[in-house]
Amino acid sequence: MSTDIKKEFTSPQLYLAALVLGMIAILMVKFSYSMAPIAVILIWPAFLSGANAVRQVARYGLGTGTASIGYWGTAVGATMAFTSQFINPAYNFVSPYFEIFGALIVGAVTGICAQKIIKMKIPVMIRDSAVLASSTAIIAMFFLAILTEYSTQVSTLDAYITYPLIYIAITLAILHPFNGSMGAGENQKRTLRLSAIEASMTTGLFGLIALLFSDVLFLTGSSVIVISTAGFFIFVKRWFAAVKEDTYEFAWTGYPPAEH
Amino acid sequence: MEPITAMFAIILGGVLVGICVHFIPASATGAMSAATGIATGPSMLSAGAGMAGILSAAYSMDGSLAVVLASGATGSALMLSLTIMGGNIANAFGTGVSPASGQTASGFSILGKSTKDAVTGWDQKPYISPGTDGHGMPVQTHISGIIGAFIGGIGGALVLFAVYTLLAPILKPDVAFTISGFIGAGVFLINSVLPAYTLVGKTEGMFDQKIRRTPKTLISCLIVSTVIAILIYSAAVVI
Repeated sequence: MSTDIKKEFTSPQLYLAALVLGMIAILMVKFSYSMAPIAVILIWPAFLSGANAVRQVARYGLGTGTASIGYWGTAVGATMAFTSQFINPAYNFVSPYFEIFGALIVGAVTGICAQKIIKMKIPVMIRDSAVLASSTAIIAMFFLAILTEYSTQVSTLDAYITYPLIYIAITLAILHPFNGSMGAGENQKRTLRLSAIEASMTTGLFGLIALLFSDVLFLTGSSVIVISTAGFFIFVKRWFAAVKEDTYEFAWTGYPPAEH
Repeated sequence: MEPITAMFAIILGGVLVGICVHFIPASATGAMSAATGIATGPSMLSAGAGMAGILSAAYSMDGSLAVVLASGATGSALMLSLTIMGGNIANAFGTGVSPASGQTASGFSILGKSTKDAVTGWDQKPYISPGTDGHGMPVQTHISGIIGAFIGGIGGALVLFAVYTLLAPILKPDVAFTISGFIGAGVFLINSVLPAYTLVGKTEGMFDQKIRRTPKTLISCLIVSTVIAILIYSAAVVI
């Protein structure tokens, strides 16, 4: 096994990228549908940030499963994102800031309760709970924007039928990368690459949903699917290279396994 | 219901959800019949019971608050009772072990040194398989689970009703209803994970020593639910 210490991205680094690029992506989508293919690339770091937050918290051993923390994170993020649907249109300018920072606050407060009242001994609990909740809010806001911002023919409120899908799709994309990479050889590089694959799959899925949602979203949906598919193939190649590299380090001794 | 009352109802509902998790018997090692409790984590099981409660409450939204709460509580309790029954059938006829409380058998439950079931009076000790911490859900655990689901169902239904009250004046009824359901489910999931941190993945319900940790959950859920309720109230009423 390799003994060199590889530098990892920290949660604040990933979150800063997710926040800045995610905000730009949401505002781009609000500005013009022709920006969707670029915006979809900018939202992927939010998936990486969320998956990394799950990894940071879950590897300490929560007492509840990795699935639970993923569901919890998305519950905060998506719940806050759904509140955007009943903000008075005259105050639309507060969106998406209200939802994303609201999720950040709820995440941080939950982390403080877990740390100070329940006395969990996880030093990153407050920081990563906040990052997780806020990252999922960024993603949920982006999906709501991509389905509803392009045409007056599609009311923002029509998107409510997609809420279950938004919720479950984000949850799986956030919680699975760490769960799928767990074990003695888990490392951030492989987990984040798996997260990137799942991010591109999820955005591709929402491209398909956009196609089915309304005729006016045909170009948006098609472009999102094309970009997501391209991203998927690139990320799979990168992830598989990392898997092979790590597997050889662990398993390949130069001899075939003995038969007993 | 006034908007400000609805905000307090969301807080109360969140707290009830948090408390309910302590009553619902769950244990991941229950899947191997190695511990008493339903074979999953407490948070996921409570969330499932809560969703059933919200779904059940949704059918009675035309009625008064009391009817909505009763409907949510009943649906949630029914779901959990059937889950416990299914688990016991699998344990008895699949694995071949009888329901028995590990903590009661070892004299460490909240009942003190008694090794008997609090409801039936049946001795638990002879039924424990060696090397396990109980298996299945004996009667006292089943009753505890039903009480927990009842509390959780009331909490979930209260959040649903309160959010619907906030949204009904500003949205179309079907949209308000759907969004209320999802926010109710979200509040349930948020509050059911915090107690799971306290329970460290396993509880036998109200006869487990961990029931003494309920105040910690209560305070945590009160704080978190207050923040969420204020944000929801702000989005619906203030801005």
